[in-house]
Formats: sequence, C-alpha cells, structure tokens
Amino acid sequence: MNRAGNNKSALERLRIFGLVPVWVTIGVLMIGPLMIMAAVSLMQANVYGGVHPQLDFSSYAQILFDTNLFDEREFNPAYLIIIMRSFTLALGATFLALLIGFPAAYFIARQPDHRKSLLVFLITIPFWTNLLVRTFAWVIILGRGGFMDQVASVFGLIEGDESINLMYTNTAILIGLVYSYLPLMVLPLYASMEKMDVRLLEAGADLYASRFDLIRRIILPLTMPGIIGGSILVFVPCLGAFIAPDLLGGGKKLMLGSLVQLQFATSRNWPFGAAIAMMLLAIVVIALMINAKAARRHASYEQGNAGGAHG
Amino acid sequence: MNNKIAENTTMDTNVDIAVDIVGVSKVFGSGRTAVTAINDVTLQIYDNEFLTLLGPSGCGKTTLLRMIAGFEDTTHGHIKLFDQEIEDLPPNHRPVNTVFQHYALFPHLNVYENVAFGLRRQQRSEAEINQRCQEVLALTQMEALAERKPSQMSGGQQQRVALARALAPNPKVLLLDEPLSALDLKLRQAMREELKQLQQKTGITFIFVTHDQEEALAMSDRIVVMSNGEVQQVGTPKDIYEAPTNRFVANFIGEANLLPATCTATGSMATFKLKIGGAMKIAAGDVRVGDEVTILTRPEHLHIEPNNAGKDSANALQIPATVTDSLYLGSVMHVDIDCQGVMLKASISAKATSNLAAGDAVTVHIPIEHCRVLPS
Repeated sequence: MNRAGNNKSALERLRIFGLVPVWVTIGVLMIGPLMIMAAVSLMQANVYGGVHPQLDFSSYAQILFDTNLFDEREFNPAYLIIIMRSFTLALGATFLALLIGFPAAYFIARQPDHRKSLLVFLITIPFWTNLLVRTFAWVIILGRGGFMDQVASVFGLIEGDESINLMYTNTAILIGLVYSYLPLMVLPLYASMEKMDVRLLEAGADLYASRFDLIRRIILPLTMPGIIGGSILVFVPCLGAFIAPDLLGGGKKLMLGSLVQLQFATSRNWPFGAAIAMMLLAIVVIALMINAKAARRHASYEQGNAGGAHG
Repeated sequence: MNNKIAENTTMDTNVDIAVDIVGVSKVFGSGRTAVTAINDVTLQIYDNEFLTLLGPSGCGKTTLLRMIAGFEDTTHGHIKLFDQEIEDLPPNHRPVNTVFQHYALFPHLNVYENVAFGLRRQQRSEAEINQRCQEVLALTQMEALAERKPSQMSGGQQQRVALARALAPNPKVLLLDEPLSALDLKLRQAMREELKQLQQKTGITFIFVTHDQEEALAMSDRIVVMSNGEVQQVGTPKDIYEAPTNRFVANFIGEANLLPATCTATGSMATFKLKIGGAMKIAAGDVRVGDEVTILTRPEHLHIEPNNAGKDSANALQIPATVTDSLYLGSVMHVDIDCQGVMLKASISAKATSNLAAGDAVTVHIPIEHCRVLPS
C-alpha cells in the first residue's frame, strides 16, 4: 500500500519532469518574448535605443496621434496610411495568390501520383533560397533596362532608353509579395483539393452541371478550408513583410513590417515598434479566429457522425 | 454472334429503342500499352426495360455504362439515345442520370439539396423543384431525412438518396453502377425488390451493372453477359440460365457441370459420346462428326442413387461414381461426386436421400432432357 503510494508519487514527479521541455518551449520561447514585447510597448523610449522602465501608453497613442509644439495631441494620418497600405497590399496579394494558386493547385491535384509529388516538390523549392535573394531577382526583372523593359520594347510599348517604371511602386511590392508567398497558398489548396473526391465532379456533370457550376457549386465549397487556410498563410506574413516593400518599394512605400523594423533599427524607438507589432499580432489573432470558426463549421460534414441521431 | 438469336426471341415488333449501341469499341492508352476495354459491342436497349450488364470485374460493363453517361468517349462505333446521336454531347447535356457505385453524394449539401441539384441546374422553378423533390423523396421513402447531411446517414439511406437524386430530373434512362455492392446482404436483397418495383412504377429504362448473377437473375427483364469486353449472350434470365450459349455463360450464371464429349453422329438429334462413359442423343445446332463439345447439366438436375438400387431408364444416362463430399443445407444437400475422374456437383432434395457420406459408391443419373450442348 505504502510502496504503491510512493511509486505513484514518483511516477507523478517523473511526469512533471518529463513535461519540462513543453513548458520551456511554450513559456520561455513563446509566451516570454511576447510578454517582453508587450512590456516594451508600454515603456518609454530611450534616446540611444533600449527602454526606460516607466509605464507609458503614448506609444499606442502615437499610432494615431502626434504631439505638436504646444504639447497638444493632434491627429496624424501618416501611420494610418501605412496601415491602410499594408492592408490593401496584403489583401491584394492574397487575392492574386488565390487567383493564381487555385488553378495551379487544381492542376497538380489532378495529375497522376508520381507527377503530383514532383510538382509539390517544385512548389516548395523556392523556400530553400533566401527570401532576400529571391526578392532581389525581381529588382533585376522589374528594374530599368530589366527583363520587363526588354519585353515591353519588343512589343513596341517603350522606345530606346525608356522604362515602364515598375520599380518603387505599389505594383512592384504586390508582385514581390505574391511571388514570395504563393507557395503558402498553393500547398493548403492542393491538400484540400487532393482530398476531394473526383467522382463528385462526375456526379455533378451527370446532373447537368456546367464547368462553371462544378467550380462554383462543388469545388469551391469543398475546398473552402484550403482557401481560408491559404489566405491566412499569405495574408499574415504579407501584412508584416518588409523585404519586398524595402527592395521593390524603395523603402518609400512603408508597410507595417518595414515600420517595425525601422523603429527598432534606425529610429531607436523600441516602444513604438513594439506597439505596432502588438497591433499586428491582434490583427493576426482575429484572422485566425475567423479561420477557426470557418473550420468548425466545415467540420460538421467533413468528419460527420455516421448514423448520427441529430440532424 | 449468338446474341442475335436471343434478341430476336424477346423483341416485340413495336418497342422503342432507348439506347442503340452499334459496333462500339473502347481502347485505353495507345501503342504497346493499349488496352481494349470494349470490343465491337452491338446492343439494343429497349424503352422501359430493366437491363442488366453482368460480368466479372474488368469485363468492360462499367466502361460501357460510362460511355452511355458520357464520362468516356467511344474509340469506334456509335451510341444513339432515342435516335439521337450523343457521342459529341458532354455528360451534362445527356438526358441520362447515374446512380454511382459509392453514391458520390455531395457532402456539403443536405439530402434535399442533393436531390434538387440536377433540377436547379436545369433552371426549373422553385415550386417545380420542391414538388419534384418531395415526389422522389417519397418514392424512395426519404422524406423524413431531407435535412440530413450525407455523413449523418447509413449506407442504405445514402443509397436511397443517390437513387432519388438520379431520378429527380426524370431521366429517359437511369444508369446504375453496382449500386448495391456496398450494402450488407439483407439490405441488398430488400433493395432488389424495391429497385425492380421502382423501375416498373416510373417506366424509366434502367441499365444496371453488376457482377452478382443472383442480383441479375432476380431483377432483370434482360441480361447482357459480358466478358473480356465482348457480349457473350443477351437474353431473359430464364434464357441465360437454361440455355447458355457457351461455357463462359454456363459457368458464370449458376453452378454448372461441364462434361467433355465428342460428336459421333449428326442429324436432327446428334449423338455425343461422353468422356466419362455412355452416349446421348440431343438436339444440337451446327456440329460435325468428330467435334469436341461440352455437355452442360445443372446440379439440381442430377439424381444420385445408391449403387445397388439402380433402376434403368432410357431418359437418363447412368454412370457409376464416388461421393467425395456432402454438405447438408436444410432443404437441399450439396454433393460433390467423382465421376470417372470428372468432378460433378449435385444439388438434391435432402428429404429424398438417405445419408450420403464421402467414399460411398453411387450411380449418377444424368437426365438427357436437361442436357445442353455447348461449343468446347
């Protein structure tokens, strides 16, 4: 009896000990940095970087308001414009990635098995190269006298030394974002399309559905988890991206990611950078919650309950 | 081939042809990897009949069905639907509907919307859709579950929904691709009855694909036996069972005893000498002296007598044999017998026989009137 009790508590101690790596990972490596970030965002900035440990909410206020010469708060749309630009570009990139990724994923999913795995492998290859290098390639393509200019001059759209001036525009940033995160759209889309029973398309065609009907009435609803998942995977990093806006936007068209990077690196305003990062985090959490809700609704027929009693 | 004869015997003079298949072939792949799934099939399917395509897996029956539905194109030949050429029509423009083997119900739609799918694509009015859905749901006894999702139903219920969905647009021809194969035995037997009644009630031509000969015999007006992409025989269930035209059909439908024999005399009644001993005179078509043939007898036609109780009869061949196994099944008894080196199966009334055990020496009576000559 006594021995059994001892064994039990020994087992429990062992279990607690065994869970240490989990708590270290979650606590020290995930929650810890977040808390530090949240704390930093609530402190005062030190002129030479770092923070002055004193509670101050002004970093959050700074997102929308400026303090003028008379020490009065004044609405300042500069950061709001950056936020709006980030949102617009991230949404645009997500939409374009969906537009390109959807047919691509569908094509891959309908290939024979051996070719499928090869194509999926090819989709993941860009991840093996540094994003900076890959984005820089677009500078060469879009830049003055680059590939796009050469194509344009072949078609007579520009003459001589002219350029179609794609660099340092929102379009260039958009192209860079779509390119960077397209694989993150294709992979979840592919996963849900591969799961879809192709026989459903035959059943649809048998019931007088046109090709458009098949996409709208069968493929789209059945691949909705992939569409939502892929959209979030593209939207979230696009919102915080800073390489594409830096290289392709020339650092003039700031996005939220570049703004954060700027605050920590150049402006030495850590609390403000942290406040923006916290705001980004909040947006991401909201996006994930929408995803979770959609996924739950979907699960009702995906997993189903065979012979279930409730209808 | 032989099917022409069988067709003529059952064809009424004034029956519309629902599906006219003329010289259709299907070759998958090309060059050295080419596989012929359907080889020069000609078949007429009449309006308002229950026709079964029967054959082992890989015989081409499903391919033929898919060609009628439009999921496969024909390599050669033509398919007409009520005198209309349909080769160039995609599946969504063909007035046929399919009940798929694994139902292929839309998992994101409830029963009602599954059934309404075809009607909505045809741009029917909401009132008409509703009325028609209620009709077919009532027909398949699924009204109560209209709001359910497919995943919330049993296999049998899903099967009914698949049926209702395919019937809803009121197709001219309903194609059924082994719809009962995923159900358990009891349900399958109940559904046979129901499908047959449904066909008679709706008057729609049913083309039913199965590898289950019992199913085919129970439901069909006519059966098309297929093997290796070719039609082996077309006929009523009775025709197919009692008068198979070749060894394949005889073996595939029911149990068969196939006795090798040689023709020794021709005439209106030809004489055949059996390898196991004895000779018989039976009507045979086109045979010549010396032809090797096969004589078919069904197990239920054989009689077994204890060796000492042999009573002579001019109508039956009597061959000494040994019992190798017997299986008591209540009403009948299945007996395996070794008849001069040829294994025969007999199915006899359990009441009529005293105990037959392995090793017993017996006499087998083969009634000549139930024997048929098949080409070897």
